[in-house]
This record gives sequence, structure tokens and C-alpha cells, in this order.
Amino acid sequence: MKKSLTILSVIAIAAMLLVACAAPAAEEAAPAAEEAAPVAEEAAPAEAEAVLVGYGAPELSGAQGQIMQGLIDHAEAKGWEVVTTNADFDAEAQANQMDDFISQGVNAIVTVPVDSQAICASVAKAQAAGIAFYTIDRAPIGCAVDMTVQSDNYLAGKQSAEAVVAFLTEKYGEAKGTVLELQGDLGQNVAQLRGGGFNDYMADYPNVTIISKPTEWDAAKFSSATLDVAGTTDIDAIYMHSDSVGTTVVLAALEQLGKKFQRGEEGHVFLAGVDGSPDALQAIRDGWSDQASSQPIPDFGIIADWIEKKLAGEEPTEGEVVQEGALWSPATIVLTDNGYQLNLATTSVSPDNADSTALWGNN
Amino acid sequence: MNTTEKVMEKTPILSVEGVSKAFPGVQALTSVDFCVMEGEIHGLVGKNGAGKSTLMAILMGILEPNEGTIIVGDQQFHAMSPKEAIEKGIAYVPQHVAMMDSLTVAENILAGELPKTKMGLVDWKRVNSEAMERLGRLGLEMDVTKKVEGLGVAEQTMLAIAKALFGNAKLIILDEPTASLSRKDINRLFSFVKSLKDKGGSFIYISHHLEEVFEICDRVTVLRDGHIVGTAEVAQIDVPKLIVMMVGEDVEDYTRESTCQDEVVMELNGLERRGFYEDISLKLRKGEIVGLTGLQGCGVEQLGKGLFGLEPRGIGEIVIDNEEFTADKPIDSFNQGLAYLPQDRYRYGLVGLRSVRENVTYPILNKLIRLVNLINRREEKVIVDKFISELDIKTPSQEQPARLLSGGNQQKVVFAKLASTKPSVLVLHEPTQGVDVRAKMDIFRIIDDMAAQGVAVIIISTEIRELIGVCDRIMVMNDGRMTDEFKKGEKDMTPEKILAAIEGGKNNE
Amino acid sequence: MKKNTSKLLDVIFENLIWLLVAASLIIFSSLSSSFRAPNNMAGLLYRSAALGLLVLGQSFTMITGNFDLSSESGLGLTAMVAALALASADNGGLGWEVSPFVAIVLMIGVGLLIGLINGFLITRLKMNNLIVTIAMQMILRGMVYIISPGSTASFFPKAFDWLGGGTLFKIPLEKGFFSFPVATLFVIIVFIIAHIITRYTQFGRNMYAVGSNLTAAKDAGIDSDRIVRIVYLIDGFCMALAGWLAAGRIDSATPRTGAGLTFPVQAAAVIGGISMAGGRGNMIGALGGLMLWSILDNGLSIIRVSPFWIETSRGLILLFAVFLDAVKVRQMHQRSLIDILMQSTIGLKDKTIVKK
Repeated sequence: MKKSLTILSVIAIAAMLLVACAAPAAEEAAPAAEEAAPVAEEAAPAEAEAVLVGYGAPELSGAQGQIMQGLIDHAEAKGWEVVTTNADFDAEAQANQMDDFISQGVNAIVTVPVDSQAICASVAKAQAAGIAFYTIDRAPIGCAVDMTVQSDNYLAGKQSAEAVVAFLTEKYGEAKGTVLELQGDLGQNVAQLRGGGFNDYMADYPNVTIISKPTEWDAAKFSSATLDVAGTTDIDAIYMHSDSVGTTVVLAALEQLGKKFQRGEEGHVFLAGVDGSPDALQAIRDGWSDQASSQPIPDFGIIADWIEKKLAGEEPTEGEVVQEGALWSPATIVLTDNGYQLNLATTSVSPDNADSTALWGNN
Repeated sequence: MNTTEKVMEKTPILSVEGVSKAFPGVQALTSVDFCVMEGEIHGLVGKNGAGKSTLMAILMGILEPNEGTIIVGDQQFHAMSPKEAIEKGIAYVPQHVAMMDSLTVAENILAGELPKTKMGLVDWKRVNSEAMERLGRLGLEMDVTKKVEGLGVAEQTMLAIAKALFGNAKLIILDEPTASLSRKDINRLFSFVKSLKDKGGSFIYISHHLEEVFEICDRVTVLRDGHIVGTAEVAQIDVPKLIVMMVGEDVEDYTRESTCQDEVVMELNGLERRGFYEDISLKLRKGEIVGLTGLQGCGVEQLGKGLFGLEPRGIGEIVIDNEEFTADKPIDSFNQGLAYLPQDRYRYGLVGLRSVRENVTYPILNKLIRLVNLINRREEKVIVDKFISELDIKTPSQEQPARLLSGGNQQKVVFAKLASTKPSVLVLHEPTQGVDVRAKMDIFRIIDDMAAQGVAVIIISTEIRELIGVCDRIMVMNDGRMTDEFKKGEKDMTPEKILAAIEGGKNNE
Repeated sequence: MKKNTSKLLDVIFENLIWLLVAASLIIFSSLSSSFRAPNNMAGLLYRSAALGLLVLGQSFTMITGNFDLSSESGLGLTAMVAALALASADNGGLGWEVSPFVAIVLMIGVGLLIGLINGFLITRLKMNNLIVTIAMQMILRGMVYIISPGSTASFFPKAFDWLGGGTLFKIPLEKGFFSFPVATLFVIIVFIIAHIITRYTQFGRNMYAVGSNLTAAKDAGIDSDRIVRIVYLIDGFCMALAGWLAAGRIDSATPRTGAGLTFPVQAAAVIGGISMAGGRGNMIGALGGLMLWSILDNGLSIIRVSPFWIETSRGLILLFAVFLDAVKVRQMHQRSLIDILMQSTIGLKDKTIVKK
């Protein structure tokens, strides 16, 4: 009894002290918040109440940092505030962060899901709370969000195919020869589209033989497939579903086989791929690689335009979206089981424009 | 020392006959006969290394004797297992008892058999009341809800004794129970033990405090160098006689010429650490060997450790080689010219698993370092070789793990380590403990050589005869003060006079 | 006089965690209205329910003076086993689509097996508990990748998700609903049960005895190995419950589910007063540690502290917790050092030889 009294009084005293300390701290924090607000109001005087967007990054290295910055830039241009979190590859941490966004009463959540399936629990929760949910780069699997913005992977495959055909035509006078296709994880939509865009275009050129090898996005398999095929067959070109995974290892494999030649040299193997990673762009500049379908990573932030429409009560419409001069244009909107998808055009990078600072791989 | 008729009437609860035990390099016990009667408090005394712990370990079933028999009650053993010893009711209460510190007194008493409610949950009310009731039967009053770590040392010891009795112990070995107790606590502990004796309990009481032996024991047995010197009724013996039994007169004497020079190497001015020593002032000359001695607890041990920086030193000034000595940890002490040989070389002096070489050069490694952080192995080898030959260390190679050497050679390795630091002052704590006679002579020779080279040596020891042989001066400490000084060549420097000085302080209390 | 102040200090020290919980609740509530919203408050334990079960298992092992660093992977493996059995082939499962009951039995079986192996290696083979469980962490995580293989399994029956993600009851508010998560209540109940086990059963007290002083416990006739084995079994059971909560929470099991939880688990237990030296701390304190971890995680995120600072603050809290633990251990250590010095008065030589 006496003991519990002591405990109680100690807790009470401590609590009082803490409140006393915490109160000034709160006051200090408040002006800081107000300082941020006027900036937002200046930028968008029409907005009565600042829109708050929660952005959940799966990690913050490389391209993910650019995706996040792109979103922040687009949102701040509208005078919105963005709260950011980093799940560090942890799907559960991301679920917690989504909960925190809901608690904070954000107007919309944008995230690059750590796991396309695991994110669905959070999507359901947000929707129950009436919060719009958007994903970038990866569509959810098993549930529907308001919109997913991603690269037009079909177009990316097609752009690479065009470059390959142009090369073969120049080399043999007509489109013929052998091409190695290093596929991603065919269980995923992304790889299916990158393969589909490529193969549909190549279907018009029956004299070109395509050898397809699945790699599951694994660098080791990129390497072994290259060694296996290029070691036994004379190939004219290689198309990689991901140049960020493949460029370095595929070039190393060619070197091992004695088939690594620069552009213009006899025996040069034409290298094309999707992503437009810094590696790939550098290889193009150095003459080892030839084409990359670069993803419009900084432009993923234009999802903000559709968030704005949604908040105004307007639903997206299927069809083409065109904006003069934008790298991501033309884009398409399609409605799928997983919600609307905004597919942004990729940029076909050749040696001519490999230096462009508009490409994410050069930032 | 004859056992008297009166005692013979009682039945022995435990007797040991002709027990011997040898360790590599040491004969720890030689045909020991020893007997404890029912309802008796039996004192066991002897200097460090006399074999008390070995004997106790055999009684507890931890060690197996090489020969001899142990008779407990009506059963005869060559060697007991620890389990048998416990079953036979032998319990050991060390100076600092092993308890479940973070649990309450009650839980410690009832551990393993906590009373439960009908639901099968622990019934805390009954745990506490039952513990209280049990303690009450022994006449002990204690707050049973207190955690053991909150108890004083005396209470912990009494609790341990009580626990042993609840476990049906018949013979309880008390190992130095009063070493860290105040007089008041000692009185409480003693009256508790006596009350248990009156109820029929038997005890073996191990202590360095001889006057306590007289206070509480019925009989006392003296061990020296593994032999039983004798057993006596305390009523028929006094402290000086007991000391003579403990110290013995069979030690081979080492004699040496004084190498003392005029130059003062070390000066202690008014050193004081409260509760341990005070007003310690001493001047040491080059090549001088000074003995420090006194009873257990007189502060001489702490003084040695304090000088080296193993324990807090307290206040006061120390000057070595005309510079103030400020080191408060061992490595600094080495660097400032003071080296220390610890009493317990296994724990502090040697890294048993490592090689002789590493043990010798450990304190001087940073002097051997060349090029960033590489050790100059060749130079190291030369240094170590020099010591091995100079000190006559018997080891197959430099790389031999130190623990595989005999006791005397281990001690020499520690000496080599100390000598490698080229100290101005060497403090030695019981340097001959646990080594055989031959090695003792070697060690004295080493000390002698170092003194001849100008090193001032302080020997802290209770081996009075050895001190007389080797020291230029002997200082006696009583209750933290230096009370007497004996100089080589003066006729006062005899074991009897020194013993009287040592005991004198105590008797004046 | 002096005794009273030290007793008061003891009481403060023992209950420090709840002071910190109260303090952080007050601070965050005053800083953010989102934080003090009922839904957010009720979600504090919900969000860290799986972590909580691991903290519980860890506390059991730590009280006996052991560690378990394998639990994060144990969580991952049990979750994946259940997920593979439950999910349809389309959603990454094996297509068995077993009933939730079967899946739960299956995952608990896996959890107990993990505990059994840990306990066997540590008590029977006398292997170091730290290294054994680190090795198990790697092995179990590897097994998750092998059986999954490397992909997520999702979308389970509602009944399975109920514990980790379900709502116990809803109360209409002015705006929306106040919904009380099942997991919050579950965590509280489980901690209360654990408290009863540790405080009021013979087994529980024996755990403390073993962790506090192994020798003394053995002297008292306690079968310490048996206690430790049972503790690891309980720990394995907790992993399975944690796996159930985690999988239900996000309606999925990813190959990385649970990865990286070891340090939060350790931190929450130590912050809650479970000593790394064993024998100290209680389950209610551990619950406090979990609460504090959760409050900081949620609170810092809600007051929009940058993700980088959240990570830093976690590290600081962990440091603080270990500091507190070190203070406790140092107190004990000082005592034992004095013991050693005191003991050196009687033939330690012999004792040392005995040890060899």
C-alpha cells in the first residue's frame, strides 16, 4: 500500500514536471509549423486549406530518392505539404507508416510499395478512412488503388525493338539476324509488358531469330544466359529487360567470350535495354552499349495532377494524355483490376541524346 | 596435542584419516588426520597455502584425495561426490555466499519448493509466512520480503547458514565469515552460531583472526604446509602458542648481505585511506629491501594494492625518483617505475593460457613496437631469452603456455615480467606463497639480485622468518598504522619479538 | 534515513519505464492532436503486436540469463509456413488453401520445433546461446527464402487475419468510427498471462532463480537445464504467435517479414527493465518497454520528424537502455569484484586449481 502510494506520487510529480517541460517545447514547435504554412499559401493562394500528402518510400537510395524528390517537387508546386517516411525494405514498417498517415488525416497517400501484395491491407484501411491511395512504379496486386503511375513498359520494349531493327537493317541491308532477349521475372506484369512490346514489334520481321532467356532479375542469371547463348551462337544484339541489373554483367560476359567490341568495330554486339540506369547511359557514351528505353522517373510526380483532380471530385478517364514537350508524353490511362494505371512514355536513348540531363540516369 | 577424555565421549560427526593430495608441483596435503565432534565448533587455522582449502574441497567432494579415507557418520568413503557430501549433511558457507541476489529472502529460503494455492499459483502470503516461521525456529529475525542484495554481509552469511540447516546440514563449514564484518555484526553472527551449536549443530570454522578462534571455537586444528601440526582445546592454548604452531620453525633460512645504498628512491608521505590505513610515511633507499607485515586486516594488503593502483589509494604523497607518483592504474604504475607482484598470481599475475613470452613482455609491448603497430619479435625474443636464463625459468620454450609450468617457475615468469619494466620500486605480495622450498630460494636470490642492481623492494608477507632472512628493515602494521620497526642487525629482530609486535596491537584493543 | 532514500530510488528505478511511457504520452499528446486521437492511441499496441510477442519470448529467455536472437527469423518462418498453406497458388501460396485452424496449428508446431532445437543445442550440447541463436537466425531466414521461394504469399481467410488485423468493436464518432483492434487486447492479455506465469508459478520463480545465480539455483535443487529448455519452447510459441499477428496484420507474408526486428526486440526488453545479466525485470516492465518503443515510433512519425532522425532517436534510446542495464550490472559487478579481493585472503591458489 505504502509502496504503491510512493509510486503514484513519484509518477504524479514526474508527470507534472514533464508537462511543464513539454509545454514550452510545444510552443516552440508551433511557430515552426506556422512558418512552413505561409510558404505554401503564397504558392497557392486559392487553396483554403493546405493539402497534405503522405509519401511512403520503400528505401531512399538511387532512383527511389529521385522518385521521392519528383513527387515533392510536383506537390510543392501546387502549394501542398508532403510528409515522407522510409520503410527501409520492411513491409510491416510500411504498414505502420501508412497507419501513421491515416492518423495524421492526410488527404492522399502516395507510396512505392515494398511489397505489391502486402500493401493491400493498408490500401483497404486508407480507403475505409476515405483517403485516396496512389502507388508509383509498382501497381498493387490483389486490390485496387485510385491510380498507379508507372512507365509505359510496352512502349519501352517497342522502343528497344525499333533500335534493334534499325541496327540490323543497317548491318545486313535487311532486318535479319539473331537477338538474345534477357527477360525479367515473367510472373510480373512489368516483364510481360517489356517482353510484349519488344516481341510484338519484332513479329513484323520474321527473319530475325529471337532467343529468350528468363533471368528473374538476377544479375547472375543475366551473366550465365549471355555466356550460354553468345558462346554457342553468333548473336547480333541483346535486349535486356533491365539494364540496371544487366549492363555491367552482360558486358563482362561478352568480354569473357572475346566478343566485347565497341560500336563501329567488327563484331560489335548491339546492346539495348529498359530502365536507362546510370550504368547503361555511361556504357552508351563509352560506345559499348547502344540503346536504353529510359524510364521517366522524375516525372512520376505528375501523379499530383490526378490527385488534385480526385480531391476536386473528378475521376480519371481512359485514353491518351498528351503534353507538348514533356518527355513522358504521350501517356495512356487504362483501367485495370488494380485501379487506373497512368503509363508514362519512356525515352529512347541513343548515343545522340545520352548526355541529356532530363534523363534520370544522369542525375 | 592430545585430545582430551571429555571430547572423546562425544561421537565424531566427521573424521578424516591419512588423507593426502598432490597437485602438479605441490604436495597440498600429507597424511592428514582430522576429526570434528557432534555439537562442536572446530577451528581450522593455517597460513595461506597451508592446505585448508584443499582439505575443505575434499570434504565437500569437489576434490578427490590421492589416498586416505573420510568417515561421515557410519559410512566410509575414499572420496565423496559433491552430491554425497550434501546428502551426508556437509554444507559450505563461503565468505561471500552465492545467493539469488535479485530475489527475496523468502524465495531464497524456499527456492524449489514454493507453497502454492489450490490454483497451482505461488502463494506469496504463505511463502513469506513460512520463511518467517522457519527463520524463527532458528531464532533469526529478518525482513523476508527484502531482496538478498539488500542484506548486509552478516545477514547473508546467517541466511546461508540457515538455508544449509533447512537442507538438513549436520556439519557447516564457515570459511572466513567475519573478514568484512564490523565488530557488532561479528557478535551477532557469533551468538547465532553459538545458539545453533547449543541445538546440536557442528561447525568447522576457518579464520585468520586467531582471537576469534578463541572466542568461538571449542577446539582448533593447525595446518602447515599440508601437514596437521596439531589439534588442541582452545582452553589449553594461547595466541602466541598458536602462532608458533602456524609459522613453524623448520623453514630453511636465506641470508644475504645488505645492498642498501644512501640514495632515497621512494618516499611515502602521510598516505591515508579511510578504513584501511592511515599516516603511512616511509623512505626507501636504493637496493633496500623492506618487509611489511601484520595480521589479516591490518591494512598492509590494501597498501600494496593501493600503491600499484589495483585499489583506490586514498590521500597522501608518493615520490619515486624525485618525481611525484600519480599512477592510478597498473599500466601507469609500470611506466612510473613501480612494479607489483600480486598474491594471487593466477588471477592477476599471469595469463595462464598465453605463452611465457607474451606474459613476460606484456607490460613493455609498446616499447617493442616498431612501424605503426608491429611488434619487434626478434628483440622480444632476445629479452625473453635473457630472463629465462637469468632467472633459471624451467620451460621447454618461450611459447609454452604459462599455466603448464610449475608454481615456482610461474612465479619466476611473473618476476621476469616485472623486471622487464625496469622498475625503481618493486612491491611483492607474498612472493613465496605456494612454491616449494627450492623455488623459494631461487626467488630470494632473484629478489637479492634485483636489490643489488639498485631496485628498492617492499615485501608484504606474513612469513616472518623469511622476512627476517631477506629484509633490511621490517615494518609492522596494526590497524592501518605502522607501529613497530625492526632493523637488520639489531638484536630485536627475532620472530618472537616481531610476533609480539604483530599481536600486540590486537591485544591492546 | 539513508535506507529510505535508497528504497525510494529503487522504486523509481524499478518503475522508470512507466514514468517514461507517461512522459512520452504526455509530450506527444501535447504536440499533436493526431497522436492523441482515440484511434491512434488504440493502435499503439496494434502496430507493434508482433514485436510485442517477440519481446515476450525474449524476456523469458533473458530472465534465465539467456538470449534469443533467432526470433525475428522464427517469426518470418512461421508466418511463411502458414501463408504458403493458406494462400491460393495465384497469390504465392502452395494452393493447399487449408483452413485457418490447420494453418495456426502448423505454425505453432514450427515455432515449438524451433524452440525445441534452440533449447536442445543450448542445454544438451552446451553451446553458447548467443551464437546458437544467431546461427538459427540465419538458418531460419534462409529457410524462408527456400520455401517461399523468394516471393510473397498473400490474401488469407478473414478468420486468420482477425487476430493480427481485425477489429474487436467499433464505436461511431462524430467523424468516422473508433475501432479497437483485436491485437491490442491480445497483446495486453498475453503480457498479463506472462506476468502471472513469471510471478505466481513455481516455474516462473525458478526462471528467476536460474538467471539470478545458476549455482545457487542448482544447489536449491532446481533443474536449470529443464527450465531453460521450457523457456525456449515458450519462446518458440511466442514466435509463432508473432508470426500469426504479423501475417494477419498485412494479410501477407513476405520473405523479409520480421527481418531486422532483433534489435527492436532487444531494445524494448532492455528498456523495459529486463536485465541482460539475467534474473531481473518483469513482464509488466517489458510491456512498458514495448509501449515506449511503439509510442516513439508512432509519435515521432506523426510529428513529422525526418525518417533519418527517427532512426537516430531509436539508437539513442537503445543506448540509454543499455546504459541503465550497465548501471545495474555494474552494481552487481562491483560487489563481485569486492568478493574476489576479499577472497584472496584464503588460499585462492587451491581454489584456482580446483577450477582447472
